[in-house]
Amino acid sequence: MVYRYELKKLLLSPLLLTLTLLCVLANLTFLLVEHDNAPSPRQTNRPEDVLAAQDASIFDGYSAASIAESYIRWYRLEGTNAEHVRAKYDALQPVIDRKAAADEKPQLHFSGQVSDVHVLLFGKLLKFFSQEVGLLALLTALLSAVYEQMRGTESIVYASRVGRQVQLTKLWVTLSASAVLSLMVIGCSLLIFFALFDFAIPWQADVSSVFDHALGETKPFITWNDLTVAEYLWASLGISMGLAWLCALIGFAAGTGFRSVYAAFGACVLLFTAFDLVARSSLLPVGSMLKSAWGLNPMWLWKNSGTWFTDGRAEMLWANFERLGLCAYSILFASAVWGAYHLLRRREIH
Amino acid sequence: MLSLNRVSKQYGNFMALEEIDLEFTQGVYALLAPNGAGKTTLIKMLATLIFPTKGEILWNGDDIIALDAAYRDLIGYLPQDFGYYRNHTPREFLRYMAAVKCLKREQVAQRIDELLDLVGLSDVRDKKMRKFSGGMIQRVGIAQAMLNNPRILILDEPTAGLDPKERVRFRNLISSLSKDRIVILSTHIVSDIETIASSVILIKDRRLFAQDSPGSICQQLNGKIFETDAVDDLDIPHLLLTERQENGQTITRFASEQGSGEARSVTPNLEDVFLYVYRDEER
Repeated sequence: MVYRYELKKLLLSPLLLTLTLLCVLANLTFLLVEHDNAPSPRQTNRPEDVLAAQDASIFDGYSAASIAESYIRWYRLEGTNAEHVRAKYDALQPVIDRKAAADEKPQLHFSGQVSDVHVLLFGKLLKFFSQEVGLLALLTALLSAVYEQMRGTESIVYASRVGRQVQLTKLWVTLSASAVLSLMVIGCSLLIFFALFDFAIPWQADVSSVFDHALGETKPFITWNDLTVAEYLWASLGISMGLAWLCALIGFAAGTGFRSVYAAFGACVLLFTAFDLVARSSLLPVGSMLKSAWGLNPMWLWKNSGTWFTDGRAEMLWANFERLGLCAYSILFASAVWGAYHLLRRREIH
Repeated sequence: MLSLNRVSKQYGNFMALEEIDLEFTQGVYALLAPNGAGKTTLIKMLATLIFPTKGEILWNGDDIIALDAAYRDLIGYLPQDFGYYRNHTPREFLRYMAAVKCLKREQVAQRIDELLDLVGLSDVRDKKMRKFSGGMIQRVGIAQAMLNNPRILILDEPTAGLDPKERVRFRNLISSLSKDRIVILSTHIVSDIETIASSVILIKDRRLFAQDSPGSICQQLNGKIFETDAVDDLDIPHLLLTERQENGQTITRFASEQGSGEARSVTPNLEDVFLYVYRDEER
């Protein structure tokens, strides 16, 4: 019963509904601008590119070590840090060999505008999604955690039979509401995308074939696991959802701990800024375990959404880092929620 | 029985309440003290919102903190600054409160209708509360406190901000609710409790000063309360209590150890006691 009422409170909150609508409108605007700027298919869909692509084998004879060495030269890595990068790419070689054996080739669709639209969907829109739903989840959590305090109903709710345990129900409601609002943003934006851009996506083709090079890079798009384009889209949406839940967890922990929506929001902003600043600084050298471990944070994952499921460049030393990051920070942020809840249980309500 | 055993509450270096011993069985217990005397602190400890620094609060011999939800199931609480959802109707708000009080679903609708009827809000049960008067909001507050038919009803300054008519209505309502439960009511408005309290609790200097029936409390000032229309002629030590106009004259009520001249002795009331006991605590 309480779950239902709490969920209704959040899903009917004018603030959250407005924010959700704003996210969809922002995506709509972005897609309309991209649609207007897109070159016509006749100009870019060059038959010679298609034919050339058909003969190109992406992974045949490709050496992961060459990627490692290019990074080592670029970052001027030495010693153990260089060895870490080499070891990571050595581990990637069997994956490349497996893909080469499968004779992965660029798809016929892969030329001209279609490629641009892939970049638009998987490179830009997906990044927007993950950031928007993360922010939405953070605000949902903050609102949920401080709802009673903001309305002065904390004392009557905490003096009821459910008491301060209502905060646990609110946590589940926050995660549910975050999922619902995220699905609304993602669903509406994808609908707009597919309505505006009429093209065929080779859903069942291997994603490494469709994206024959990583976005903005010269190396192939090498995923640790074999993923079709459809699987890659779902998996990326899954990671976006996971990141949204991470934001919900930390927002809820901050809201429960600080009891002030402004202080809690400020603490979350500080935390994410710290994640980014440390990652950008030279405190943690590329190729070090510390840099790799730091890169598991949600902020780094957001900023590098294009590398999910791939090697993660030289900064990331571990396979499947996006799932590793999600698991690690789920545990960390869930512990923060648990700690904040136990503080609340002992806190005096004045 | 609800009892407090040597309960103290300290905030840093400030001692808010010191070694309070009290027992509540059935009836209206009026916690009477000036603002800042520790009434709300005591009320919040009874509502488990804050915790004693020393001592214990027991319900039938069990610590209320240890009883946890089982104790909270017995109480109904109306805080001094009662918060509510402005965009909800009374019925919607009470449904939510029924959920956090774990009322059985099949009982909720009927119970809410009964209570809205009792507090006189039946005709506005589906109107948003944002336009309600202070008195109407307080009535929603008492309805939410009564939802679980509590054995202990805790009301913190329930009449603050109400107009005289609403205060009388509220007083009558509390009186009708006190038949089979403990009602603990904190106030600094003497007239709120004079006629309905079965026991008055006075807190002074952070400690329990007195706990007795209103009549017995008033008796302590028997022979010490006087009225005169010539207060300027008083030549004895006295404490001015109240003034009123009568037949074009100003009648002054005062407390003194002895009578004087034409001053006539009158029966003390709770207001006299309040003013006499807290004479040093004017703020």
